[in-house]
Amino acid sequence: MMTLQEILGWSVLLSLLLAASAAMIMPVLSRFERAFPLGRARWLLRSVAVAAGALALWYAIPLIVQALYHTNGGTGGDRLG
Amino acid sequence: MIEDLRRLGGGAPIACDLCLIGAGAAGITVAREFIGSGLTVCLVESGGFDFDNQTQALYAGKNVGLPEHGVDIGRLRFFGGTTNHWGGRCTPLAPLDFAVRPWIPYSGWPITRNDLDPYYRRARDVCGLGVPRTPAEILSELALRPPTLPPNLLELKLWEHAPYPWSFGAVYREELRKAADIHVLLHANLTQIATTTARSAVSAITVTSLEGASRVITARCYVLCCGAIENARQLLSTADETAPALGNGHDLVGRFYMDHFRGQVATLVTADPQPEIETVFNYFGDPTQRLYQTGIELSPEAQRDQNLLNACAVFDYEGDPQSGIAEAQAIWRQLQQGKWAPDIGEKVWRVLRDLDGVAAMVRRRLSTDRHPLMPLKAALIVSDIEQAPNPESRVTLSNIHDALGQRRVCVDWRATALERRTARHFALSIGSALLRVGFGRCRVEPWLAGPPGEAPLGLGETYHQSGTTRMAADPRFGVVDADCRVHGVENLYVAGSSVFPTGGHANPTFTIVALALRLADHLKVVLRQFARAAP
Repeated sequence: MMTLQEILGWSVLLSLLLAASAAMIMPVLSRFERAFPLGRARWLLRSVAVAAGALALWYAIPLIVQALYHTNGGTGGDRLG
Repeated sequence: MIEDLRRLGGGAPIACDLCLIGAGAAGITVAREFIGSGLTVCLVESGGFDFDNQTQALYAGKNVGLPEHGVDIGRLRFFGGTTNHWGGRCTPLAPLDFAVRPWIPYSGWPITRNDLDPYYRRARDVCGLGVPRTPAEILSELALRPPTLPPNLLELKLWEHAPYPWSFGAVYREELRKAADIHVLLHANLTQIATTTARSAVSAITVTSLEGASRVITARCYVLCCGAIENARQLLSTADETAPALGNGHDLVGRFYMDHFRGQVATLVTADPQPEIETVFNYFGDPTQRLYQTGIELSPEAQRDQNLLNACAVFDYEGDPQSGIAEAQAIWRQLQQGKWAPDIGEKVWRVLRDLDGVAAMVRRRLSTDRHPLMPLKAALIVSDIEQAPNPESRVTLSNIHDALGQRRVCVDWRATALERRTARHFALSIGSALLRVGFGRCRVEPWLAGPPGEAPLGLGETYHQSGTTRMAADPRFGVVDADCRVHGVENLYVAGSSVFPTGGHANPTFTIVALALRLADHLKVVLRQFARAAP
């Protein structure tokens, strides 16, 4: 059972992911919509695209951070003298 | 030139002027000094360029003394040696560390700090430290205003750090590859040291790969640079039914095994969630990305007056794990591992709740490159205590054999009462000093609070193994002389921390490098004399 704090945290995280996804996808989608007017179906497409983008970010962000910062692979050493 | 014994295979002996056994901090430092010298050097290394389990397993040993794991995991057996996980903390031994201290049995080096100072200066370059600056200059640049500590009792300690990571193998590999007069031989394990009939000189060594390829190497001089435990092991392995091991005429090889005793000696209790102490005793980076650490050390006067060992302490800040900053760090660390933190929802909520604290931390990090100020749960005082030389603390050979048929080591690490007394005195001194300057109250660890001998020693190892082939002018008291030459063997030398008669509180690598540079200078003179004397 999720606590209220967890629900609030998840909501914020999800909102951030959706916002980031929308910020990336909407410019591309707008151009597509100008070329292929979809009428009312455009909201469905937007929702699916932004949700898919958020899902992609969920998986991509850890991998990107790991690739950027994981530099000391190998020996499992400590900071010894 | 770098070759691999597995590919080179067996064949004719390899002849050179100098044979270095072990490519760690000491071996690589000596080898580099001979680049362009006109003398030929063969640097043999048990491992390859990367860690591999089979080679590392040759280090496995038995432990019958105080709990320690350094035999197996504190040392690394591949090109670069243990510097492959070196933290880079550099500081020279103090002048008093070299002196005979009557209250410490078996103390005293046959050389002084003055003898080593020119080599410490050269060691700075080898360790990537750059131009030397006084502690006052560094403190001023870091804008640190340390508190006034009780004179003649405690002193501020400033450590410099080599750039991280600074594996000698990675840093100097290309230089050695290009050097025509240096022959690096990988996957070559020392399996035999042959001597002249009188055992007064080494005539050849044999190196063998785990796959069975074997070569004999002949040189004018040989240097064991395998680390404190392995140097003793290799010397002890030269014993046979008729004669003691090389350098062991007085049963000293492997004895006086030392490490630094490290552990928490006290906890600072403070009501201030962001105490000033964190701005004084911590890690600090300067604008050139060089890293420093500040701490406290026992003054020479206190050591003399109270008959104590050397000791130092740093502060380990334990943040409140439920603060927004700690949660933000936890999320970030997990992301660096390629994962979202467990309980991410709750963690995000805690970050949001403490958003101003997190923002202040990020701003501080970006503007000053300093470690974040965490809302503290506790400040742990972690001390490194010098180990008193003790002949009963020793490395011997067990009856278990490794994959190459060599006897594995058996380590019996022992403490004396002096380490506990030093830790107790040091912790109490720090406690009263911090109270006086208003940083808070210290709670001494329970194992130090009771009567001596009541609780087990609450200190562990640091993987700073040393002392097993100690240096002494008189062969009755040491294995090597002041030039690091094995007593009674005219062309066999030892490099590394195994020659330390005492270890102060300083991390050993910087001194290992300084001693290696000094040994290289000595060997150049000796080898040129050999060359002149040769027909």
